[in-house]
Amino acid sequence: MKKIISRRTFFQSLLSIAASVPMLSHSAFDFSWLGLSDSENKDELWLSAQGQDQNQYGLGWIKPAQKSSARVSAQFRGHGLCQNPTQANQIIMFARRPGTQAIRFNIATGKTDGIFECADDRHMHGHGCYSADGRFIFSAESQISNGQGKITVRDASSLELVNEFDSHGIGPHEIALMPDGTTLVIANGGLLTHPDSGRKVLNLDSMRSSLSYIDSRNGKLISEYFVEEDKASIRHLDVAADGTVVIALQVQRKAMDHDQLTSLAGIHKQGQKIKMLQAPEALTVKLNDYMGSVAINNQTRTAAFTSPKGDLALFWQLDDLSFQGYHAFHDVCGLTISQDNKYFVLSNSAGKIRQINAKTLKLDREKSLNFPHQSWDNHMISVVSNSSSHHRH
Amino acid sequence: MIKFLISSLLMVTSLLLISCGGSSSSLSNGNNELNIAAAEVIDNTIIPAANRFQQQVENLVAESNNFCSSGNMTDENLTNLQEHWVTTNMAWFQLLPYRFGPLVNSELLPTYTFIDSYRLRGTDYISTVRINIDSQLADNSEINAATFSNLSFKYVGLLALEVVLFEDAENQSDNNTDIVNEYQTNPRKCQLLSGYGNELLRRVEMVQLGWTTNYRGSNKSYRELVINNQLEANFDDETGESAIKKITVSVQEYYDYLGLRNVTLDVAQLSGTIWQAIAASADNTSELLSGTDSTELSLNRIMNNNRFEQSVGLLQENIQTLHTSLDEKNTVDMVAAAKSLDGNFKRELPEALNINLGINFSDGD
Repeated sequence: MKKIISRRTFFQSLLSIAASVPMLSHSAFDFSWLGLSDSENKDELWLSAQGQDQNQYGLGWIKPAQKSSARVSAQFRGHGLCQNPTQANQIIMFARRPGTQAIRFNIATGKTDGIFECADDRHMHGHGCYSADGRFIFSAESQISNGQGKITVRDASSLELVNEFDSHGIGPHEIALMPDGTTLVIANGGLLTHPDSGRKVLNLDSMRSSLSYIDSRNGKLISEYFVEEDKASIRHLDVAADGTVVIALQVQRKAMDHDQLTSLAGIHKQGQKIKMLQAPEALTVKLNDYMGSVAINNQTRTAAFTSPKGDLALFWQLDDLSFQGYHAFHDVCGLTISQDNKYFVLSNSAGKIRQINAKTLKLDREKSLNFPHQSWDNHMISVVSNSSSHHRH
Repeated sequence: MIKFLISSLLMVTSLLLISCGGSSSSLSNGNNELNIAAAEVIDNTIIPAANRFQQQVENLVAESNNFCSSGNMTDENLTNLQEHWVTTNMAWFQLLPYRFGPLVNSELLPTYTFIDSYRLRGTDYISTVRINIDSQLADNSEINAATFSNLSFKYVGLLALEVVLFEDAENQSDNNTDIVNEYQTNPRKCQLLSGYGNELLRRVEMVQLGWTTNYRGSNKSYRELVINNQLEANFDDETGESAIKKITVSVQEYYDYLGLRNVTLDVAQLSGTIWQAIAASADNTSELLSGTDSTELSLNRIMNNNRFEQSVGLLQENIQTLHTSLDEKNTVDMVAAAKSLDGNFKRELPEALNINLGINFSDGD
């Protein structure tokens, strides 16, 4: 029998600790106060799920300063990762949909020091995040029997399940904590799947994706937003320091009753409707209705999106929403921001790493890396091992 | 072990053959048999397709100039010119499956869209073309090369040439006498024909030169760059995968296009020649797989050596099914056959060749 902390205890602990977390005096994703902006951080790591098959699946990492990489194996194909904001050595890697496992990896030891599984009748969607105080882990999951999206809450130390909320949608995919430290933003993809039928979408006719904001202390729905195209699935997101949320979508083209081109990038500013970001037609066509990852550079106020099905990374300015440019890279999906905020870091499944100057959006060739023994999967995060600084994705 | 020995023998043989001369002698050390086979596909199938297309467009332009010469505007000469357009379009459908490198040039303004606007995403721009032609015919401003080089891809290419050759602008009549009469009474129509032809030729020459001589100002051919894996070293915005992957994905995308879009209902409709155009693609895919008389190491041979004889057979069977549907002018069967080939190039062929198209590309979340 798993130990369940009472909802009241959970709520009180979040309230009391959230107020005392020093990170909250800064925006949740602004790390310039760490003084890392002017030089490469020797403790910087880029982490990603990796592997081509069951024998290789694991968590891989790169030390860019040393131009080296390593990995630990996992018994499942990983997807998204997150770092504990108060205990920087702790990294969680979640299983890819419809997996049921996650591992806790310690970047100080280079070893896995914990594992947890979904409760009965639950499966994961591959993403999660820590609470602002680092005491809890939120995970995007689904109830298998009825398909309802769930946000599970685990004790970050014991990894035991302590609570669970509705995601207020179907198929919650990426989730993130807002800068207020308590609100969770959820990309409810709207796609119903069942482990018995693998990754097949079972509700193409009725699918409805939403961007939901919930109170992480009690699961209450604060607000929800929709995109105009019913068959567009909001699946990935990132949050800027000012609370602006950017979303990456995937379109279920075969379920659509029209053939119009659909934007796959959107932005949501508080109190407003979701706005779609426009790119030149030929580029949007090339994306093949699929965006795989998104990350925001807070210094340049630029959002980057990747599309492995289009072999492209695309960039938009967050304030005037203008399209800034693109970079072609085969099978690109992993995307993060270097700790000095100078680069967008891109990875692909051939083990390659490219760094795009965040100001000029040009490739810095000298910073390209190649690890042919690694196959970087969908997502990558940038962390510093000796601090609580991290960039998602 | 036997498989390994056969593969090794094949590779050594191929390398020996290449080292004895031939157009593949620029291969650098360390290329495996897939790269050798890809080089042969480029040399024996893709570049000849680019050459043929360029030659056909040149002929079309020459015949257009001849038709527009004094006294040559006859029904018979128009028919001859229309046949040149059909041959040119068939040559295009042999090159169209290789939609990468020189056929793209720029992701923002891909070259192929200026040749075949429908290929971008299955939008039929015939109304747009007609409106532009009507406007140009009614206008009295000078028509020159800049008139066409500044036009959006929606207004130019094979479609624009088909419209000016197969119908009159006045009534959209497909009667050759009416069409010839319009050429005779409005000299601007010949200027349009010439302009569209020369603009297409300019684009096609860029493609042909890109494959053989100078890709994007590098003074190196795309052939050399892609076979020797030098694209990333020369360009910041090249994706960087191997030649065999580019070929495989591109052909797969072509059959996806045939299965997804209303090609038989929208393309080459004025000439009524879409079936033979797609048949030209199917023939080209057979050649891609089995090679030509010049081919030493075909993709089929590698797949057979890898003990994927069934995949080879399946591909041949589906190409034959596609041919049958084209012979019968059956859109439903054509779409089904195209979807089967799309799947073959996504799954069976990469597996049989032992190539990985990328886990994110093929299996994202």
